[in-house]
Amino acid sequence: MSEIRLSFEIKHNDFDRAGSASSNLKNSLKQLGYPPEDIRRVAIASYEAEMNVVVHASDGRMEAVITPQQVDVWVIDNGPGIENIELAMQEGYSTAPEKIRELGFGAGMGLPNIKKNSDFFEIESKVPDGTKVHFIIRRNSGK
Amino acid sequence: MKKLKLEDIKKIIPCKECYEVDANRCVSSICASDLMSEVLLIAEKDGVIVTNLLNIQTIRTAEMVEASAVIFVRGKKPTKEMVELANKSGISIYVTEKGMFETCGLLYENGINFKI
Repeated sequence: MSEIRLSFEIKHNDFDRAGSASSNLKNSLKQLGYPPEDIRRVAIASYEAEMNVVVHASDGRMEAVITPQQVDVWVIDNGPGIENIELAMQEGYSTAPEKIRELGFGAGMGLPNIKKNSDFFEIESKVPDGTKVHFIIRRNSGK
Repeated sequence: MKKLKLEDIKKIIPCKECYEVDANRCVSSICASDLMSEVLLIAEKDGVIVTNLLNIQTIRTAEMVEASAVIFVRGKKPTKEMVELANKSGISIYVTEKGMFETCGLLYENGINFKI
């Protein structure tokens, strides 16, 4: 395995398919023989990022680059962007509408949980253009 | 903490319906919540999720955290799509008529570790 690139579309408000990109990424890592603990961290972080697009943004995509050393994931959406990233990173802060909370999401834990599960995390956002979340999970980092 | 299997959970909680994949699968802990954001944060691998929240994202969340099973309380019956997705992901589903409080109480009484 040298480098494998994967790309998945994410549709805003499509709660039936939400999570399918993360599920596909998880299954690819399983097939490649990645350690189960690393796969679990990638799955949780990518699912949180995917749900953020489904809940908050317009459509977007997930891109992943898998090498024997690490998994790089980018989740990019087309807006509306986050006005205050510092606030969005605070545990418990959420702008999700009541309808989303009824679905079990929008507790304001998404971005902090991506950071918690990854070895590298960065977020860029511009109103109204969109948000780019990038995180890395290193193989056997044991985090 | 006792080392438990899903078949033990079934003996503790009266189940109205079971969609079982592997009754011999080990259970690490119990995570009781209706907030999937919270489950993603605290659930352990091979844990059992006890919830009122009946939708496809409950199963997706269980898939991501590598849960061994989901218990739907108050008789909430999963859809065919939920059962299929759970089956594909190796997750068993149990449905109990008991509420969240009593389900957790029964599990706690039997010495099972908790995450609420």
